Amino acid sequence: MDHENSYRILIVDDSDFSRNTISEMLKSDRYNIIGEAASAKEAINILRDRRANIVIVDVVMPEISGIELTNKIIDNFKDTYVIVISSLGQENIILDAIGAGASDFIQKPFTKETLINSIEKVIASFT
Amino acid sequence: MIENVQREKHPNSYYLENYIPEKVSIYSEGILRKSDIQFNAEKSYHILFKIQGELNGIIVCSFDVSELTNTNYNFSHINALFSESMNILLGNFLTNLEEKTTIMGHLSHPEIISDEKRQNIIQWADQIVIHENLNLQLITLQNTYNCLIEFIAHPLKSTMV
Repeated sequence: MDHENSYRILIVDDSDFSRNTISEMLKSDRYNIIGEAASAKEAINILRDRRANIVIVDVVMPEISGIELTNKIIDNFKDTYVIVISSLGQENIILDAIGAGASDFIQKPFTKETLINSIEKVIASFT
Repeated sequence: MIENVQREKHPNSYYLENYIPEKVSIYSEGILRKSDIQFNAEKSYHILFKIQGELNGIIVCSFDVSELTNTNYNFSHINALFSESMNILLGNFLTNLEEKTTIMGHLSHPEIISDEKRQNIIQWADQIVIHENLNLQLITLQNTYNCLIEFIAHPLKSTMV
């Protein structure tokens, strides 16, 4: 599968380590990492330039939280789906993520298999 | 009753001992686990997290970086690993705490702080209701880092002592 036929993914997390880890996990012809953002503002700027199928969003970030960003993505970018990630697995955070329109929630730390299963579940929902 | 036994065994670290997992895998980069080695670093690196919710306070995480001074380690990678490993550990701590006690706390993003700021925080800590610490080790393929967590908090929920 070349890049034209791969699924376009944006990674949003204020942790460099987390972004690099996720990017490494998704190295494959099936996924095209269109960018990495350390804040919600950066993510919105990237999405204005480049279309993404899936955005992976961390909850705890400075200024605008991942939950608020999820709301903005769902409201403003049609056909873009969000997977929320967080080290916090509390029920109210999961509910906030679902309420904001996220397609899935994964608690950190996760394995490559868990991440790919989540992405594939989301892909299956829109293809 | 079990909780009382735990409190006697670890009078200084009741919440940290009971709700921090014995070990947490930091993806494929390392493992963070509880340790009996007392933290005593010549040179350390500190990260602060704020907690808000039914529990208000801060957690200061310190890493012994004495051995890194004269080596060729990639400091930015190590610092990023420290921050994210503590973010994962403390997220798991607050999740366990809520599941087992219904006390809810949210974690801020990490902030790097100086030795001076950490000292200043610790000076105030004894006046705060909860002041605990816990020794840990972060084990990576290249090295083992001794770490210390200092938990300073004030409960807003009456069930927390």
